[in-house]
Amino acid sequence: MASLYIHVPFCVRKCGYCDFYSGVAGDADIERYIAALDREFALRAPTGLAPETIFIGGGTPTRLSAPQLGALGAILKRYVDLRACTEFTCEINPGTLTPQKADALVAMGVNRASFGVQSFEPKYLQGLDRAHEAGVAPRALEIARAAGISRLNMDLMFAMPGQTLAEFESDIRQALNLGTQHISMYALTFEDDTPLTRQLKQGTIAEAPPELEEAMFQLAGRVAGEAGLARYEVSNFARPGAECAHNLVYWTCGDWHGFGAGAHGMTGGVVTRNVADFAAYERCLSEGNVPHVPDAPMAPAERAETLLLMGLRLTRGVELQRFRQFTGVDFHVACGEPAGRLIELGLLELTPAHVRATPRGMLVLDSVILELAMALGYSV
Amino acid sequence: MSELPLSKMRNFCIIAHIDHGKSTLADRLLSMSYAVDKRKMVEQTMDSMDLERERGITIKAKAIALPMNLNGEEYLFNLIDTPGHVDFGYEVSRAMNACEGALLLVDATQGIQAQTVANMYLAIGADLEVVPVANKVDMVAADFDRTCGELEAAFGTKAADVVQVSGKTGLGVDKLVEEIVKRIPPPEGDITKPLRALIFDAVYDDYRGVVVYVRVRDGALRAGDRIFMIGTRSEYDVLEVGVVRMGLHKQPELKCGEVGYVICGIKTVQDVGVGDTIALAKHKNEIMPLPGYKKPQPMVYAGVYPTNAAEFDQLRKGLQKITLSDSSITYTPEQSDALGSGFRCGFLGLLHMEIFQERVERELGLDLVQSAPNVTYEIKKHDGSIERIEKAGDLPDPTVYDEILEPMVKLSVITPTEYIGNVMALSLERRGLYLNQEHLGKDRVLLSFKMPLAEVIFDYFDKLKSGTRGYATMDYEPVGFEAADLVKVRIMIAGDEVDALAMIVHRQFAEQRGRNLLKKLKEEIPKHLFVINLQAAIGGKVIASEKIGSMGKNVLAKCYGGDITRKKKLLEKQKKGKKRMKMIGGVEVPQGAFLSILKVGNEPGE
Ligand SMILES: Nc1nc2c(ncn2[C@@H]2O[C@H](COP(=O)(O)OP(=O)(O)O)[C@@H](O)[C@H]2O)c(=O)[nH]1
Ligand code: SF4
Ligand SMILES: [Mg+2]
Repeated sequence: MASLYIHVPFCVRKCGYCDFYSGVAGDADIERYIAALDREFALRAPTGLAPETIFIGGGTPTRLSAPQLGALGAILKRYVDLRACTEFTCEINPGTLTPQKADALVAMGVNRASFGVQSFEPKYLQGLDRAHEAGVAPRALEIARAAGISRLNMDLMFAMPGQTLAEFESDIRQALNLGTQHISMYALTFEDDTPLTRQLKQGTIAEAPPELEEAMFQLAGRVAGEAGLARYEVSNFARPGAECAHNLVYWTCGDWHGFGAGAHGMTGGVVTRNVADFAAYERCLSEGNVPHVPDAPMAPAERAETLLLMGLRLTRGVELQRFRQFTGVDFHVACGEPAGRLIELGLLELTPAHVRATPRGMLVLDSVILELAMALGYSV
Repeated sequence: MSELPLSKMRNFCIIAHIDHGKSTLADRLLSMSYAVDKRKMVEQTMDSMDLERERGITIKAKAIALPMNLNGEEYLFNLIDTPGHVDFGYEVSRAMNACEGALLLVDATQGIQAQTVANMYLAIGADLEVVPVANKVDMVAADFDRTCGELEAAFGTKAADVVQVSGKTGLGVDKLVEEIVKRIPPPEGDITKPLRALIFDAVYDDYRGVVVYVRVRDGALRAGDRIFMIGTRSEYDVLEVGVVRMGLHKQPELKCGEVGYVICGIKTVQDVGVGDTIALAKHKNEIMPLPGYKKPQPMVYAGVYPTNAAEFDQLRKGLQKITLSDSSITYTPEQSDALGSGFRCGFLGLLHMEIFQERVERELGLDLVQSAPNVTYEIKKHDGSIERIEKAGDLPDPTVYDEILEPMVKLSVITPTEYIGNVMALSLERRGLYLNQEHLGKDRVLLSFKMPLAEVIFDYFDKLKSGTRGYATMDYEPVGFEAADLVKVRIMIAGDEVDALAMIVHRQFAEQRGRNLLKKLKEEIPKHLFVINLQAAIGGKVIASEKIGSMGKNVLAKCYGGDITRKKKLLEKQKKGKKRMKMIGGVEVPQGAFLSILKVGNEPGE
């Protein structure tokens, strides 16, 4: 059955680099939001869902108090059958987790926690305007474990202004020492209209030099790899078997439902998008309408493009059979010409069952995908 | 107005360096003449194309009839607007031939500039009575005495003859009108002689077809006449004649001495020769044409290609449309190995080319790739025959010809004396031959050089401006072809020769320019997924090479379920960007690369 994503668009404060649909809100807003979520489930899933994976993301789900988490849990009890669910992740801001909240999460069914650590260096957390302090991450992990959540991920960030290679390596090692099975390591991205990008434009901060960013990307793979966590996606590393099953659904263009303001979903290759505005979301539901707009069904070329741009992010690549099944065409027919060139350049490789980026191809994946997409040539 | 005697007519033009206030003064005269409806009078009526208004350059000469009242007497002024820029020099001289006089307008805050001098010489050549006018005297920075001093030094003008005006405020313009009447002679002509009319301009009008501007020299031109154009040897029936006021005003005839328009069912301005003579068809075998007609030769050529090969037909139609109203652009289909099917277009000069580019973008909405412009060369074959070479790629092997000739110009530069050294150095380095210098007052000087046109179109103007802190102005006129030691530099991208980037260069500079061009290409061509080799060669000998390293890390950090839509939009944008590039040997080359030839100088590290 399709997976389930639930969006919680609230944060303790807005991070300097963030362009997600999220914001700071008071308890009254949060409670109204939970009530709206309830209505969305009632409207879209009156007979209930039985997802294999669930992911509560944000925002900062742990911005919710323990009783509020409890209220969310009560909704899920009513609409979600957890028997088939093998992985239930909740994103956690290390600074906001308390034993009570951890218990509420476990009661809800959460068995995996993803911590937005970003860095162990105080100066970089400040630089990113993160709400938590550097020392809180180990403590948060302990709380989660004590509550019974054993599958843990930590998000780290690299290529932050001023960060050295050694500092990043120290961050990775500290994360590994905390005994995590999964790490995500993201290069800092300057999104439009964020405070950080404005600072960049004003010249008060400088982007990491491209060579350093590349070195960090390689370092991430090496250090995590040596500790037994292999890169399985551009920015994700895990011990064998500890990969995030929920995110794999995205990268293989599987089916999932998105609930909450701004949440996206996909069913049979058709994307649905909930309005990314709390007020509109709430209004829509109170009028008894589903708050989302389905995109037009994708033509085969667009489906191919979507599958490639998601699937090639995985080191195992795109399954050729999945390609055929999802798009109705053979990969060789759709992209044979550019794929041939990319293979010659050592950026792409074909195995009997997969097409995948080589490690060098992974480094320039956006350009590799663009080359393939040119051959598909649809226009939205 | 046609019943006015010739003695009450004055045909004149205004000549000036760009921005010295020609259009403003023309408007001032216009508003004095008519109780002009201000709402209808578009600002700067004489410059009617949008583009012209934006650039503040009068591209196409037109004539306008201005009834004037002076001391109770009726006069008719025919004001002929001439283009101010050097590229349109031939058209300027034709327009002058329609006049008896000229107002030489000098911005009193700037003094004489290069185009002031060039235009003045054209006016003297056309035997015009010149009325010197110091403009913008309303401004604090205006220096009348200094302007007079320069006029005297340059042309021997007496200060007492210089009229002071402000086109903007109207100050002194009444006096100017008096001086026009007093000093510019009325037109002459013999009404009893067979018709001879000078074509000095032609404009395409969506409703009327081609409107031909004429100055009738002898006889009269009437609606219903069967006419013959001597130069182009074509016959037409005159549908309408008249004068231009705030619009076209039909009249039964145009008599000798008069300036006006003719409509005779011509479809495109290509069919009209500016400078040509109109006669009555019945006289076609006996009449002598008025002197000076020639078809303007393009000075600068560039290849123009649709970015998207499927748009070739649209481009052809677009060029047809543009040349309806600009006969000086030539175009012939051409095939480039690197760029596919397109056209080789000829322009009067660089500015003319830039105007064309803007029109193509604005009026046709096409994405074009343009090769770097070049001048026309001539090669003298072993049998003594001369062949024109319109692009570097066409230059045959040196064994095929005895010598290669390039177009030369006489270049005039006016600069403050303190920059003489810089101007000299720049011009000599560009293979300029110093001719002479003439002092204009105590702190400015007019320098002349003979120089290859190729060196002038090659960012000379930018260099001149930066070497004189923006103070120098320049102008040039063609002075024929001369032999030179020129070689073809071939450019290879990833092993593929790119004919559109080939250049013909003096041997002495070939290596340095080749190297500089590769450096520019390296800046222009984005990094690819592979290493790109760039080479410059003379014949089979490589004279310079460069490498563009392969692309570094380029991968989105995060891409989850909620990012699909956004990521696809981004991809779509990137695809569009990529489609605009030209593929050469598997390398995507942006349009800018083809123009980079223009920006490379002879100096190392340029
Ligand atoms: N102060 C002042 N400015 C003027 C005068 N005549 C023209 N200008 C300004 O000079 C600039 C160039 O004028 P324009 O008539 O377009 O010059 P053209 O290029 O010779 O046609 C414009 O900004 C005018 O407003 C004048 O008599 N006094
Ligand atoms: S906590 Fe996450 S969602 Fe909230 S502002 Fe920070 S980065 Fe954005
Ligand atoms: Mg003007």
